[in-house]
Amino acid sequence: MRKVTRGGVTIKLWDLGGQPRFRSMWERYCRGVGAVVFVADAADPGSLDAARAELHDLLSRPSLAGTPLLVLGNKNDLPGALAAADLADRLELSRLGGREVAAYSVSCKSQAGVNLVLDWLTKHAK
Amino acid sequence: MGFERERVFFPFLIFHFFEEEEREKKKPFSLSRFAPPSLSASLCSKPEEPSPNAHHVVVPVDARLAAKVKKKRTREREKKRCPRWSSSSPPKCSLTPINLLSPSPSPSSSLSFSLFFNKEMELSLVGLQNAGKTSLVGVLATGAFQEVREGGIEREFFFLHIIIGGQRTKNERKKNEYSQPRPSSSSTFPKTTTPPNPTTPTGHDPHRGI
Repeated sequence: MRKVTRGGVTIKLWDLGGQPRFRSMWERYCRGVGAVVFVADAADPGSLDAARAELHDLLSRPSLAGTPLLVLGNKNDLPGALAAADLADRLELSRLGGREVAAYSVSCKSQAGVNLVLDWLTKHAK
Repeated sequence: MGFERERVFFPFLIFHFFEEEEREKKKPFSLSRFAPPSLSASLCSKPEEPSPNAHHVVVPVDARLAAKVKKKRTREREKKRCPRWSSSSPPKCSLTPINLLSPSPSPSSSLSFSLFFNKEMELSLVGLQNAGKTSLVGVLATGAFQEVREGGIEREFFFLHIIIGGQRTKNERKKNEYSQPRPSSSSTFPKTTTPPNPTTPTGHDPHRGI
């Protein structure tokens, strides 16, 4: 749990573990949140199939119906990283109906696209 | 007037949650033992100390005792710090100063007041391991990229796993640790140097999922 105040918006972040043994706990922390942020490694295409399965499994729960989703393709400073549209194709985001879905390509290392993320988050704050 | 208020409030936009932790990390262990009473009272709680003037210096007889004392102090410090998994205790640099300074904002500053500090949202950050979730949190919080230690959140989740019904409790873990023979020179956590404890049941892997 981390609290971040940026641009007038206080954001409480639950940073959840990504190992397989913790994935069943995601839903518990995603109930009732303002938005779910799904971070994927865009430079590792091999992991995207597992990421897609986990994402669709998580968002098919009835408790998360209608929760906005922000998909971030991280590590876009690495060569061979997928663009946002390709990532959305690979993760089959079009199948996730009934909610607002956005996909951005970001890089935490070079901080490219982080401002877009903040804009999206502040727009969806209550 | 509004300009002044914004100048005053701007430093509160970024707060350093781990400031206290960093300070404690920098402080060497031996210093807390020989520190002046005011410092030692503020940093490590020692309720058993009779008076601040009595410098009761404990010299450890062996490394195992030293490790035990160190672990106890760490636990006390952890207890003193605000619990990590509770959302009820706000951080130090919360919105309290703003509420104190301007309980009823004047009409001229109400615009900036409504633009700042009245939105709140809760997010949950999910993704496979090594996708960069904690790096993203660091970038969002501080605006700078920092190297994340391996398995950071997983380690915190491990303690949560203990709380909500893991097979191995803290006391059991402590008992196992101190029942093992350890080389007296190593004062660090015996993670890889010691052989696996034969008394631990094989089916009770602490790192297994729930």
